[in-house]
Amino acid sequence: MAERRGMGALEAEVLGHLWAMGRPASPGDVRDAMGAELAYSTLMTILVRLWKKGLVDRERRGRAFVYRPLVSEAELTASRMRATLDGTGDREAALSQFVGTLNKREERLLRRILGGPGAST
Amino acid sequence: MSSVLVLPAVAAIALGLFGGVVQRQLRPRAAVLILTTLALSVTAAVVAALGLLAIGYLAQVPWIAAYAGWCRSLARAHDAVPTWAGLAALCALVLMAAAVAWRVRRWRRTIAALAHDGPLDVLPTTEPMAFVVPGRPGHIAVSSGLLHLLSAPERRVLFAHEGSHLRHRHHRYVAATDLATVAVPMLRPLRAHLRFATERWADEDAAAAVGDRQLVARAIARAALATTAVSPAVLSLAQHGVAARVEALLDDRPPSHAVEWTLLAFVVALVGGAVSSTVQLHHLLAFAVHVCRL
Repeated sequence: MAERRGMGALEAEVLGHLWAMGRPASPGDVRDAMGAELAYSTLMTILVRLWKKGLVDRERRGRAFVYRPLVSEAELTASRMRATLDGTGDREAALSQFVGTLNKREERLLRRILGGPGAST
Repeated sequence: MSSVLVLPAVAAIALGLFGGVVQRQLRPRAAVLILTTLALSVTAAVVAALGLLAIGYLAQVPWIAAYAGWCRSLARAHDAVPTWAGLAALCALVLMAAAVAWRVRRWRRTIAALAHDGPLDVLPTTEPMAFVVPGRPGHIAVSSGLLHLLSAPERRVLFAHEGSHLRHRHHRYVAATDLATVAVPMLRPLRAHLRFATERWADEDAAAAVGDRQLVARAIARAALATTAVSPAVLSLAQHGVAARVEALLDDRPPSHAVEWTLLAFVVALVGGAVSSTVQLHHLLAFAVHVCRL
């Protein structure tokens, strides 16, 4: 799986889960978030790589390590702000986005799929 | 001689009109590859036809012909290019080159502004957004708003989706088609079709990675609805086909082979036409070199 999905994307995913958890997490916590098909050894390799790159910090808790992301939120300079939030098309032209904007009909359809306006997981 | 433009122009208009059919009837991956190939070959054909006119015209201008060491017999061998057609072709070529250069410059600036060291850039904004920033090796950018909005399984969808963009270098197809549409405005409808097809490709990869199409559909729907809630001003501005992507995930009937083969035949014909008109230019240049060096 690691080969198929690419190491960079897996590293990004591990970082993303750590970031979203908002607390120091054990490899087991991360594995729960990532789904069981990820081999434990692969996950450990990724965590150690991230630690060596200085992207996560780790501390010993009991017999194992817990990890937390060292993501320094890059300061939003003017040009960065524009590139990130600009809706005029530069970002759209250069980058693939997860989702774009919706019209009213699409919004209604998506709400129905999610099971009503207040639907949440 | 201006008739050399007819075939490429017809191909460009046909592609602009029927690109959507290609996108809808093919599997996303095939649609991306075919649409990109079509856009580039039609653009090459248009450039070649304009180049043919421009060179034909320039070869008739005595001082240019003398300076370049061309001979007048070349111009006489072909029908004369009217001055207006020659000048118009030259202007069009210059404008196309300028538009392409301008677009490339804007991309470079955007990508440079988003440079980041590491596989994940967490953007400090509550607006739910995620995208891939191309580069070597490139990285994924996700807003902290989106990370916190999604559940853990939905985050897996997000990273599988973005990882697909990154791994398959989707930005190359998007960039190539984008430049083609900048150069040949008739191709413009293709942009949205190609972008949609790359998103569908990443959605299908995500579905394969998490093994649950419903989950992918839900993750996309939730992120899209949250985006709408944050920026209602852009509601009606653009349609990125989020709903169509969700519908495609929930209804996964494979496209029929008959339609795929028919489309493939259409594509081969179009590319063949485009390439053959490019070859004309090649012949003219070879002819010029041989005849004039005698």
